[in-house]
Amino acid sequence: MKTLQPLLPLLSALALCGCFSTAGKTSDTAWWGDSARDADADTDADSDSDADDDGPSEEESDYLRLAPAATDQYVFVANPDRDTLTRVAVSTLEVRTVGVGRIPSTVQTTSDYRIAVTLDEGDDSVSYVYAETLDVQSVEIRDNMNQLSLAPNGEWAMAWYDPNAESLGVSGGITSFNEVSFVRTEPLVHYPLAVGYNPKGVRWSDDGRLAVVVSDGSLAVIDLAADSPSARLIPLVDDELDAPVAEEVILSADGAFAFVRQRGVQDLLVVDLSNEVVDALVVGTDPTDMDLSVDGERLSVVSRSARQVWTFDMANPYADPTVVDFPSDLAYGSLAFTGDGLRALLYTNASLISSLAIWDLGDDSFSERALVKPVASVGLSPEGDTALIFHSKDNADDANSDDPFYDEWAITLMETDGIGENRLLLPSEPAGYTVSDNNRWGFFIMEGQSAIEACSFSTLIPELVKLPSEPVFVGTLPGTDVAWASEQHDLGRLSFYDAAAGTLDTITGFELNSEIEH
Amino acid sequence: MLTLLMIGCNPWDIPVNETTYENALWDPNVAVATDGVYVRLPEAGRLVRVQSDGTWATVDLDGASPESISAAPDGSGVFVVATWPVCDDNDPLVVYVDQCPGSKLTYEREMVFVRDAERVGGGALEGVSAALDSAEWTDDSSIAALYVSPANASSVVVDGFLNLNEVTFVEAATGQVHRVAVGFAAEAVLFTEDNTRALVLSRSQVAMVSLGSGDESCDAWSACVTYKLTLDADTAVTPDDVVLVGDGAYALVSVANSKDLYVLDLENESIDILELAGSPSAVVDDPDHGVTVVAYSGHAQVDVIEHEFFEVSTIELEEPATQAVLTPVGVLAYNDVTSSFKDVAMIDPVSGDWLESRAENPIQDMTVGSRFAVATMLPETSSSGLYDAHYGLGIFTLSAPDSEDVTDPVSLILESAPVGLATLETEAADYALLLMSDVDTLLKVRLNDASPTTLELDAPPLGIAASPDDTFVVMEDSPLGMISFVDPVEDTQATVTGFATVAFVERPVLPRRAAVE
Repeated sequence: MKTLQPLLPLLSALALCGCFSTAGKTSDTAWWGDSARDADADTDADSDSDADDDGPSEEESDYLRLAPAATDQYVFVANPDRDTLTRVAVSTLEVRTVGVGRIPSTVQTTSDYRIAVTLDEGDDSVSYVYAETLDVQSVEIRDNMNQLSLAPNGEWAMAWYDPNAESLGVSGGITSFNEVSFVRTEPLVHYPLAVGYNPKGVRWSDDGRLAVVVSDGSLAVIDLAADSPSARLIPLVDDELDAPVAEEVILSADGAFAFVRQRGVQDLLVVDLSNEVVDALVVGTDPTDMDLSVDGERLSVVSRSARQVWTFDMANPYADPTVVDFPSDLAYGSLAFTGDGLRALLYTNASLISSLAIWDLGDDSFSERALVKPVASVGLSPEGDTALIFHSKDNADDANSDDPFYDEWAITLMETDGIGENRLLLPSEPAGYTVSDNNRWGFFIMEGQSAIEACSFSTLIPELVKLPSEPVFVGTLPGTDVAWASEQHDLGRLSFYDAAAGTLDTITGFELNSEIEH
Repeated sequence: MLTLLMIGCNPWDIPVNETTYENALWDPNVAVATDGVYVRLPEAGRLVRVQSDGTWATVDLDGASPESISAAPDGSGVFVVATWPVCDDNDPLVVYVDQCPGSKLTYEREMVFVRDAERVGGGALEGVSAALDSAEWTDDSSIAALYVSPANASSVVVDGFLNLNEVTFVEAATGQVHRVAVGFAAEAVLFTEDNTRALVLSRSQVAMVSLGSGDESCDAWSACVTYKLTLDADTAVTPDDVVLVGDGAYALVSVANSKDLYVLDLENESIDILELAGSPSAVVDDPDHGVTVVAYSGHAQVDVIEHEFFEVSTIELEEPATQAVLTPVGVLAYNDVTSSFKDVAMIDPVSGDWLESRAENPIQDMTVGSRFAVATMLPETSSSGLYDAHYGLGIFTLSAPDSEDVTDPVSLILESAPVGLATLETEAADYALLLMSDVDTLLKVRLNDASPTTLELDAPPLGIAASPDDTFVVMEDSPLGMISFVDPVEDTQATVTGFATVAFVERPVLPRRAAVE
């Protein structure tokens, strides 16, 4: 059963826009593609009776997040129609374009900002583009891959095929449902590996020595420190072809354990990666979300039907968990830790509940906050002291039709460490948001609106910034107050808004740069 | 830049000795060069050079007849498109054109460059199509770019074939020709300030052409870089105007019927597009202040584009302006299209301040100097006032918007329609020279005090052109040819007549017969 119908067009749109939507997955974001969630929402009722029994799935709270393919100096835009990558220097708006492989569908940047990586679906390759020099190195990968994940340290990338995601350039040949392509940066080498059926994505250990590729029925563990990486397969279930859908995987910081949350299953799987042992942990009824604490030492699992949060010690997951009851009988199913490690938000976007709870991790007390409408998504400032609560257009069952928010889109800017808030009626559906990493600004864009809203986290006051055309994606530049917006324009358009200075700069037509001839 | 304003009447088909000639004896659309005034004689099929000492000389075009002429800006020479008859009959008795059977008579066309009454290089410019009807010159007149103007496309005569994908560059000193492929249907050519490169605007693209010796990045006489203006081959983007800004680092290209202003970064080779308020009617660069000013016929504003980040700021006006001209004290904006808009605004593009003046009647044309702007004005059709009922001359003293010494414009009533206006700036004073239809005088107005004097002419004037030596040439309505050389400073004039009689009674001979045989 699906209750948040208006969200689906957004999810579909994100799945189609490969340049930024899939490029921006951060480590705290669900590792599978948006399209997978879309497909989940579509197929729940029909294909997975267990899920129906346990109620609807929670949508990952940051589904709107569209992290930029940006460095501290540049924004990179892939031009799949012209087989090029455009680099925009933010300080000067200088535009440079470089050829990559055919049909670059995704661009991501490494955390040290040295390299932009494109997945070139047209010729089944991955291109590494050095940000400063725009030197390009490419390597061939297996056929028909359409997803790319970049290790946080930039030393490795993995490409795989997601049958639920759009492919921009099918090259023909064989399409494998078990293969992934690992690419090492220096030297640039491709390692094809066979993993479990229908791989969902990859998790990278913090130390960069381990990668875990997750399929519904198994985990593939890859030792990245080996001269020639190979995959060790660890089965999660007896019958891989009838395995529950693995909805979420978290890797411990030291790479010792992986935790797998499956749909419609009452237990949490913990996998001892060294000994290749899989155990089930009791987590209450209907585990719908799990999150790692900011310090990485605790894993909390939301048991929606039990109205409880179960917390495990990552170093010793077999130790007795801490169990905290919800403050009320409301069925919260999603959890998000604040970046300061002091609190967590409990909310749901699976049912029309107009409230959320703020969990004080110091004393395990809760503060329940009434909202103007049910929640569609929640975004947090980096420190977590401010939340962007995106509301669904659908109303709570007891909503008053005379309420100004009735049947309207809305957002609430909310202090999580205080009581301040600002409830805002929106003219249309939010299409994306981002936050500055200096904890000062949140930005969001809306469908059909040629504008970006810049929200001050200190005042909770938004400012409407008009753009030349409708934005499609929004992101921020690391270490700055600057948001960028990629806008609808045949020839490409990017705007940069410096929220501190209140200045807007726009470049238009940068895709023409790929056609400059010598 | 030389200016030549002519009336549109046709004074030909005149009886001479009771003989009617099919063609005009002379064409008052002359080309003024440093060595004299070049005049076409259509009936005789000759080109003559007329000099102020009363002499004239025929230019030997090897039997070809001049079709059109245009002078280099510095007057160093004249381009001539000429035609010559070819008779496909080798009978040695066929000597004259009228002896050649009509079915065997054709005409060839060629381009020649004339200096000192002689063809540079001794003949036609090799490989230059005579269909090229537009010329843009470097400011030192050393190189000309020839192409077919889209505005004249319907009247272009094509012999055999015409390649619209190239522009022809001619070195004036030697007559050397360089044909460069630049894209389809060139719209305009703009040379860089140092005359080492040229920007060629053509359909949906802009090409940067290297001139002269070229450099490490580009061969000489080739298109070094081509900027596409669209990614859709089905969509034609027609460049309308281009200005170079930022010491030539950027080219601003406006597009016909579009709000888009393309910013071409010529150093980093990239493109940005600014969305303006509308389709620009005028784009003018102000290099001293690092800004470009854009005027719109449909908006009562000018936009100022700074050259560092190309940010656009708007200065609201009271009326739309169709023209914007850079002056030493600001940008002068006015409207010469819509009769109800008579504002003349002097704009400081940096401060945004502007000073409003008002023309008494609708502006027909404006000549802007460094101290004055002189406008010819049309009668008001809907008013019966004295001034409104007449053509007029407006004198605007150029004053900065923040000036405390602002002089009101002066408006003079004219006897008849202006047929030519030129201005002259001297240390002592500035002058406007005005010709009026059917008035046998040259009106000379001292702009500093609007005091007029007149110079008598022998016949009604047809047009006036400035000469490189700061004198003026007045063409007068005389069937056998009449040109006056006027020095407005010394108040002298020398009139030359009768040059149109050259060879007009001669029987046309078939030239270049050896080539036929």
